[in-house]
Amino acid sequence: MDFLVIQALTGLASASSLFLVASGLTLIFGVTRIVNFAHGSLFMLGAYGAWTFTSGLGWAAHAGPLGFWGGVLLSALAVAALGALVEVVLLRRIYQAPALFPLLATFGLALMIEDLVRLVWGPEDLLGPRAPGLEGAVTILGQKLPAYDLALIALGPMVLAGLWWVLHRTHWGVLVRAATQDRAMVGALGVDQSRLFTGVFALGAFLAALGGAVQVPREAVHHALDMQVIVEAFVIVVVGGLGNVVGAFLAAVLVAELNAFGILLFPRIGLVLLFLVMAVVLVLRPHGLLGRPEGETRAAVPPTAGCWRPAGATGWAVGLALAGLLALLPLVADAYVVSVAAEILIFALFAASLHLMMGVGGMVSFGHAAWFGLGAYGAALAALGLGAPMAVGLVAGPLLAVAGATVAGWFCVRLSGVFLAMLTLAFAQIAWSVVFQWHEVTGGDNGLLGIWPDRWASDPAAFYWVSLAVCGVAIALLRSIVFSPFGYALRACRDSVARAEAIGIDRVRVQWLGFVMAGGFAGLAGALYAYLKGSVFPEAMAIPVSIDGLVMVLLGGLTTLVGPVVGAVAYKTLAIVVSSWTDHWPLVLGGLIVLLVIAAPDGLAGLARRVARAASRGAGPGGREPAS
Amino acid sequence: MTLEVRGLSAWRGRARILHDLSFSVAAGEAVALLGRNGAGKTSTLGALMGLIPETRGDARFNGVPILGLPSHRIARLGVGYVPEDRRIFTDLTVNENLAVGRRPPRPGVPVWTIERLVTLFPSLAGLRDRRGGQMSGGEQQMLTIARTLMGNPSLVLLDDPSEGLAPRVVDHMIQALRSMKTEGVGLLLSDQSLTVARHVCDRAIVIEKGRLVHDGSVAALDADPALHGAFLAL
Repeated sequence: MDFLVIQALTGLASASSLFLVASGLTLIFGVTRIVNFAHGSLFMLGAYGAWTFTSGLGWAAHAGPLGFWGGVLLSALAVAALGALVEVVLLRRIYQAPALFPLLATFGLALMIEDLVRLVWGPEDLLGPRAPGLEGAVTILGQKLPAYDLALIALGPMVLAGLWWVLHRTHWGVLVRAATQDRAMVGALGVDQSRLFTGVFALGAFLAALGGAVQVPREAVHHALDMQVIVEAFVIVVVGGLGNVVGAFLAAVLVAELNAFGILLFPRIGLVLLFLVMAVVLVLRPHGLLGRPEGETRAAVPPTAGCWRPAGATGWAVGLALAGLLALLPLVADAYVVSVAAEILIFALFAASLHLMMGVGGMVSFGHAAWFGLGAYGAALAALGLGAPMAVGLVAGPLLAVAGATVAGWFCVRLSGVFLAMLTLAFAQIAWSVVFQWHEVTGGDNGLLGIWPDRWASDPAAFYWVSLAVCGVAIALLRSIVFSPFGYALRACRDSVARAEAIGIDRVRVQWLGFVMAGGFAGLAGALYAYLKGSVFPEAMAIPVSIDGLVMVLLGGLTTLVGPVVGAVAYKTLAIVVSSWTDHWPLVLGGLIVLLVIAAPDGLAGLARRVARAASRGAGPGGREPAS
Repeated sequence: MTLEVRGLSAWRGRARILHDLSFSVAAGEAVALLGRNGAGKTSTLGALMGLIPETRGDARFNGVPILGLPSHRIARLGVGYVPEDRRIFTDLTVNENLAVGRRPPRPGVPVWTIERLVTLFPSLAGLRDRRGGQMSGGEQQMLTIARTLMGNPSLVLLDDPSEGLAPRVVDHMIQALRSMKTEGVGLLLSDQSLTVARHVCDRAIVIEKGRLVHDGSVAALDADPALHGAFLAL
C-alpha cells in the first residue's frame, strides 16, 4: 500500500514535466493548427541548456538555488527565443499549406536539431546537478521520496494555474483563445495574427524547454530524448483534446500514472498500454477527453495536380520498355550496384504503397513502416520457423502486414487529418515495441538472421530480377487500383467525405480497405527486403523508415502518380551518395525536408511540370495573372 | 470619399467570381449591396476585407490602397466587418468577445465604449458574462455588430445581417443600424431582399453573376417593379 502511494507520487512528478511539454504543444496547435513535431527537440534543448547553465559552464554550481533555478529559467528563455525565430523564419510560410507539410517541416527540424545536439554536446549521456536545497528525501508513510519530486508535483498545477490566468485574465490570453476558435475573424477585427502566432510559439517553446530543464536533476540528458518525449506528448495532447490545456493536464496525469503502475504490472508492455489507452480514448471520444470537434479541418494532403489519367497503350509500352531496360542492368553492373538497385526497387514499391494511402486515399501516415516491418518479420518467421521456401515467405509477409493493418486500420479510419496521422504513428510504435520486446519469437533487438532466398534466386542478379518482376507487377497493380471503381471511391473520400457519403459511398469501409491494401503492398516490399538483407531487425519498422517513405513520396510529388517511384529512386540515390561523404545524414535529410516543404511542396514531378508549363506558356496564350 | 472601388475582380481557385466591379461609398453613407443568392455579395465584401487572396483591380479606403493587404491592416484603417455567419467566439464571454474587437479611438470617427454599445443593443445589457455559445441567434448578431464597433470603424461591411432572424429582432437591428448611420458610421450592407436596405440605405448597387448591373437610389429600385423583378426576384 505504502509503496503504491510512493509510486503514485513519483508518477505525479513525471506528470508535471510531461504536462509542461504537452501544454506547449497543445497551445501551439490550438492557435496555429500546426502539430509541432520538433516539440520534443525543444524539450531536449531545454534539458541540454539547463545542464550547460547549471553545471556545464561551472560557474553556476556554486551559486546555490538561485544559480540552479536561474540556469533552468535562462535555458527555457533561450529556447523560447529560438522558437520565435523558427516561427518567423519557417512556419509562417506554411500556415495555409495542407496539414502534412507543417508536420513534415517540423520533423525535418527535429532531425537537424538532434544532429546538431550531437555535434555540440557529444554523444554521451550527461548527468546534471541535483537541485540545491532539494537534494534530500522526504519520508512519507515510511517510504522515501526525493524532495525534488515533491517540488515537481507542485510545479505542474502551478503552471496550469499560471496558464489559466494568462489565458483568462490578460488581453493577450483572450486573443489567444479567440484565435484558437477562429483565426480569420480575429484578423478581420484588426489583430495581427503573425505576432500572436510568434508569441504563442515562443510560449510553447518556453514550456517545453522548462519541462526538459526541470528533468535534469532526475534523469540523464541524452540525444534520444526528443523522440521519446514527442511520442508521449502526442499521446497526451490527443487524449486530452487538441488545443485544450486542462485536458492536457488530465491526460498527463493519466499517462504518467499509467507508466508508473503499468511498469509494475506488465513490465514489458508499458508502451503498448500507453497506446492502447490512446486508441480506446480516440475511439470513444474522437476529439479527446476535453476536446471538441473541429469546425473546419483543412485538407491533410494537397489536391491532385491536374487530372490523373490511365496510362493507355503508350504508357504501358513505355513502362514495359523501362522494365526491359532495367532487366539488362546485371549484365553491365557489378554485384554491389545490382543489390543496391534491388533495394531501390523495393523502396519504390514501399513508396508507391504509401502513395496509395496518402496521395490516393488522403490519409497521411506517419507509421507506414509498421506494415513494411511486419512484412519482413512475416517472411522471416515463415523462412526460419517453418523452413518455407521464398515463394511462401513472399506471401506470408504481406499476409501478416494485412492482418496488422486490418486491426490498426479499423481504428485509424474513424479519424482524419492529423489525428489519423498520429494514430498511425501510435500503432507503428506499438508494433515496434512488441517486436522489440518479444524476444522468444522475434529475437528482440538481436533480430532474426539467416533468411536467404531459394538457391535459384540467391545470386544477386537473380534476386534483382525477382525484385524487378515482383515490384514491377505490384506497382502496375497499384496504378490500376487508382483507376478501378474502388480507386474512384477512395479518391472521392479523399476529396470530400460529405459528398462521397451523400452519393452512397461507405467512407469507413472504403478507407479501411484502402488502408489494408496499402499495408499489404508495403508488407510485400518488407518481405523482399528481408530476403535481400538476409536478416530483419526492429529498425525495419521504426519511425525513420516511415519518414523515409514520406520523404520519398513527397520528393517525387504526392499529387502525381509517378511521383513515389521517382522519389524513391532519387531519395535512395541521394542517401547513398551523401552518407558516403558525411556522417551527418540526419542534418542533410532534415534540411532537405524543410527545403522541400518550402520550395517544392509538389515534389520533383511537380517541379518538372511547372517548368514545362512555364516553357509552353511562353509560346501559347498566357493564363490569367492575379495581382497577388 | 471613403471607399472607392475600381475594376475589382476576384478568383476562387480557377473560377472567376467577381468581374470588374466599380462603385463607391461616401463618408457616412449607407449603401446596400443587393443581388440573388450566389451573385457575389459575400465575395465582394470578403475581397474588400482581405479574406480572398486572389484579387485584381483597385480599392482605396480614404485614399489608401487596400487590395492585397492582410485583413488586420484593413481593419486598422477603420473598416469593420460583420460576417454572414456571425462567427462569435462561442467559448468567450460577451465582454471578452468585445475585448477582442477593441482598437484605439480614431480622430473624427465615433468612439464606442461597452456602455454606449449596451445602449445601442439593450439585449446585450444583462448578458455581459454569458458565453457567446449560450446566446440566441439574434443576440449573437447584435454581439457581432457590437464587437465590430469596438474597433471604432468609419465604415462597416455587413454581410446579410438579417439572415435567419425573427422579424422583431430584425426591427431592433434596423434601429441600431440607423443609429450607427446617424452617428456618422458608413455602411455597406448586403441583403438578399430589401428588408433591411429599405429602412437603412440611401443607395443600392445590384450585382449579378459577379458583375455590377445597377447603381441607384433605394427608393427608385423599390418603386420600380421591373427593376425589382429583373435583379432580385428568385
